[in-house]
Formats: sequence, C-alpha cells, structure tokens
Amino acid sequence: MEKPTASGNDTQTPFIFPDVEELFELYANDILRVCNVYLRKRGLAEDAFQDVFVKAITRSETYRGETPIKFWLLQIARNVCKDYLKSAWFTRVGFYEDYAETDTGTSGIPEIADHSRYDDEENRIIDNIDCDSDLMVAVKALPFKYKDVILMRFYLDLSTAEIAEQLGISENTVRSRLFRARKMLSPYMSEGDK
Amino acid sequence: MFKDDLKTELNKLTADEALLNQTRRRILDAQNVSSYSSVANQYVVNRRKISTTFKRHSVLIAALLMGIVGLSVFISILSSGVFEKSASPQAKIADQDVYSANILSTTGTGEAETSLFNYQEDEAKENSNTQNAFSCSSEEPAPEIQIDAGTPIQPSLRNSINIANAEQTVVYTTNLPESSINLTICEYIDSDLDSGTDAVESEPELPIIEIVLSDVANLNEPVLLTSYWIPGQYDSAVIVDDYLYIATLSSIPSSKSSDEMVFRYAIDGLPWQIIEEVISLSDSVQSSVIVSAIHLHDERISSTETNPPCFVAVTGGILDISVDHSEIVVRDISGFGDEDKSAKNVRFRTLPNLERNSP
Repeated sequence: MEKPTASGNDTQTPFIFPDVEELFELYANDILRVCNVYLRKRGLAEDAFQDVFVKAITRSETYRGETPIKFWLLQIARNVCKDYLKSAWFTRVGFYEDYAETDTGTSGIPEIADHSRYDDEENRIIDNIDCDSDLMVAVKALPFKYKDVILMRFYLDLSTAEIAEQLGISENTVRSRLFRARKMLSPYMSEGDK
Repeated sequence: MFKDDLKTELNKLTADEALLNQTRRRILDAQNVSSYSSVANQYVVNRRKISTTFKRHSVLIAALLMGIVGLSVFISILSSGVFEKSASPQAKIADQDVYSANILSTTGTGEAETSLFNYQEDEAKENSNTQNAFSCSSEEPAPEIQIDAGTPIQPSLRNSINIANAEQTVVYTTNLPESSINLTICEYIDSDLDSGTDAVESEPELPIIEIVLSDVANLNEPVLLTSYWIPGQYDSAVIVDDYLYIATLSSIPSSKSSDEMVFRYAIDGLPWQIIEEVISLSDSVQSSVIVSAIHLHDERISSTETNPPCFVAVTGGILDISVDHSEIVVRDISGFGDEDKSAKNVRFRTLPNLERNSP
C-alpha cells in the first residue's frame, strides 16, 4: 500500500486511508508535539493526542483526500486543543498565558509571560516548566494564533502560502503573525535569526 | 539557528508505546461504540442551534408559553364546570337508592307496583342517562373475558344428556385466583341446524351453555367439581366477589325465581325492585335473557349439581346485554307496558349477601 505523505502527491492516486499503525508510524510524534505546544502540559497533550487519533479513525470517511493526511490530522489536533482550551478547567483556572496576553507593551505586542510568577513549586513541576528550555517555555507561552504560524513555519516547514491555505487567512496576515511571533521570541534567538 | 533549536526541543518529546497502546484501546472502544450508535447518531441534537434559536425567538416562545398556560387554565375552568354538573346525578342515584330501600321493604303492599306505572317519560330518560354515568364510573373494571380455545375442555356430563354430537365451543376459561379451580364455559350449538327439528325429545334444545368447575391441582388428573347447564346462547360473563354472572339469550322464556339470591332490578327511571316483578310484567314474550349467578367457592359444589343455584330470566325484545361488576343492564324493547315500545334499560343489581328470600 502506498503510504501517504505530507505532500499533496498522494491525492493523485486512488487513495486508501491508512490503518492505525501507519498513522502512528508517520504522524504520532508530530501530533503529540504540536498538542504539547498548544496545551503546554504533557498530560493534556497525551489526552488530546488520543482524541485526535480516535477522531481520525472513527471519522476517516470524512477525509476526501484533498489535502495531505498530515494537514488533516493537524487540523483535527488544532480543533481538539482549542476545545481543551475552551473547557471548564482552562476557563476557570488561571494560567500564565493570561498574564502574557494582558501585559501588552508599548508596541501593543504581547510580551512573553514571566513564568517566574510561578511561586508554587508544585505547580511548576506538574506543568513541566522546569523540564522545558527557556525557548520552549516562550513558545508555549505564545498566544494560540502565533503558535500556529511558528509551528507550521519552523517545525512543519510549510511555506507562507501553505500556512495561509491551512489557516484560511491571507499570506500577509501570516507574515505579520510570523513577524510578531519572532519578535516575541527574539530574546531566545541568536543574533542571526533576529 | 532558531529553527533547528526549536526542532531539537520539540523532538525531545516522543509518543511512547504506552501512549500508543492506550490510544489503540480507545480507538477499538470507539469503533465498537460507533457501530452500535450509528443509528442513534443520526438524531443527535444540535444544542448550539437550539440555543441560538431559543435566544432569537425568546419573545415568541414566551408568548407561546403564555398562550398554552392560558389555554390550559381555560380548559381546567371549563372541565371543572363539567365535573360539577356530573356530580349531581350521583347525588340523585344516592337518593334513589334510599328510596328503593323503602320500596323494597314495602314490596308486599303493592305500593311499588303502583309507582312503577306512574313515572314520567322525561324523568325516565334523564335517570337513564344518570344511571349510565353511574355504571361508567364504577370503582374498578370488571375482569375481562378471556377466550382461550386452546384450553383442554374439562370432562363434563354432556354425554349424559345426549348432546355429545353438538358443536362445542369454549367461550370462557380462567383459573380462579388463589385456588386450583378452573372455570370453563362451553357453548353447544347444533352442528346441523336443518336437522334441529329432528332432535330426540330427551335432548335439550340447543344452544345450551355448560359451566364446568374443576380442580386442576393435579394437571394430569383434573377433578370435576360441578357442571351447570343454562339454556340459551352465551352473551357475556363476569366474575365479581366470587360470583360468576352469566347472561345468555334464549328463545325459551324461563321464569325460575331465585332461591338463593335476590336480584334487584330497575327499568329506566324506576326504583329498584326485586326480580319477581319484572317477570310478571312482561306479557309480550319474544325472547329472554337468563342472568345466572353462581358462587364459585360454594361449599355445596358437587358433581351432582346440574343447575345453577340461582338464575333469573327476563322476557321481551332484548337488544343487548351488558354485564358490569356493579350491575347488569338489559336493553329491552318490549317496553314493559310502555306504548311507544322504545328501548328501555332493565338494570339488575345483585344482593348476594344482603337479602335472601325466606323459604
């Protein structure tokens, strides 16, 4: 069986939806990492990971092969993570992203959250704050829409046009978001990257 | 580079085998559930859509609810008025019962007979309606007649009265509650109607009803307790307070009076009377209904009994019979002396334990 790829070439041949093991082999790590960035916690990311694959398998008949499976799974993952973030736990329990989004600087750009506000050592351990590098903490602290473009551009290696198509926004908006996201992450970038 | 740093950081996290196994189990569970709930999912309610619709049309929905509440209040007021009206006939019936008790005590004086013929037609119709309402509002429904043709027919005495060749139909069979007694009612109809005139003189005229009471404690050897015979065609039956009441239609007028039980009767609008009166009143004999009452747990039940312990007959142009747990109503067009020959209801009330004729 021809394995589907992240490119759109697999849509040119008669498509057969891969089984679970193939999906795991090809996309499991990517989906788990994306969920981890979106949700910032390993435990939640694993829950979302399971939901993504359960939905993908049980609703495989809705996949029409118009986009690569990787993008389709990514879209499911984004939706699942958004649902998690809208859930009661997230809406009722404060999280450091809330501080970050409200603390806008003079430029109007949200500043990176100061995770030193985590006074409670127990919470820091639970949230794996200490396990992540400063760069990861900063990426996880980005607002959702900036995470989108950072992950798609620098992790999934999508072009600006592909990102715009996936997110349903214009390329200029994608570039603008990338610019802002990079600016927010600039303290963690080398001089050449800035 | 930032890109490489980010990938390096992200690649530290991998999906371990435990997570994959857990996901596999969840996928299997979901697939099993979805195969069973595929039909149910077609009817999943879109809560968001309902919520939006409710918000948009809240004023309209509120007005609709107000309308429903108003309508229900109006209906309740209307129905309460109807109930108030329907309460009055019951009061009339209560009055009538008191009056009939007085009549019963003065049966021998002839006063009751006088009042029997002096009733007003309008009043008769009104009381007929009220009595119908009374019979409809009885406390508990009468046991339903259950016809089970598959029940084996109990051994009977039919051979002894030379009707073994008649067509036998089980019209009613039941096991009496809290006992091992089985009740079966069979109807015998001449299988060859044309040859009915050739019947031997010793044979009873058909149709005829046989009531068989047998003890079925041992299903292999049921014991015949008794067998009763009633002439006529089976019409209806009901069991009330251990008494079996059977109504049969017959062309033969029977005027045997009760020796064990007093039946009270009333023609439309008239006070209740004892049963002998109605027989004496009927002068235009066309058909008869025999209302038999049999005590199902009578200690005197024995195989030697062949006639019901009591039964009564009404003659006239009988239209139909209804047996309720409180009364037996016979619609009769004989009129009982009424000139317009309109149908009248002859109602029977049984007094199995209250009043008995003196020997």
